[in-house]
Amino acid sequence: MYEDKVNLIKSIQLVGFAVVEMQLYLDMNPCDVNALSAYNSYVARQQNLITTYENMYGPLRSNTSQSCYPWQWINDPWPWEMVY
Amino acid sequence: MANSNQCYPYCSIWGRLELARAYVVPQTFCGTFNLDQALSTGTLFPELLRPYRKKEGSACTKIK
Repeated sequence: MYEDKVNLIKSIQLVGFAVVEMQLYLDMNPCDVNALSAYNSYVARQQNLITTYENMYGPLRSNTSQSCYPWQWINDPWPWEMVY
Repeated sequence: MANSNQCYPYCSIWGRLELARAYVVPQTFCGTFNLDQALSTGTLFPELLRPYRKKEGSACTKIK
């Protein structure tokens, strides 16, 4: 169970890094259609992973997703307090 | 007022020297590492990988 959570957060970190890398490339090469396609693909994967994580384990960010009642953001552990 | 002899182009006993110029070759997107490899090596782009391997016997190696 906890292993699933850790694997999911690691996948989010992996794809998040790829998104940032593609973003930096596209800042310099905005008309590269192949790079844009790769970027969009990584962003879609990132959004899917984040949605999956948040549905199972609660919000990853304080103001980018809806919360069920009561307000979930204050629950422990905070995303950066996970031990792995 | 600046002495024109000290301005560019610089004349010296070695002749007329030019200043250094930096350039950057434009990057072309031609594939990516898989995501595990990208995060562990620090770049998504194989053409940007610079491993900077330690030399045997260097100071850094000896500290280990």
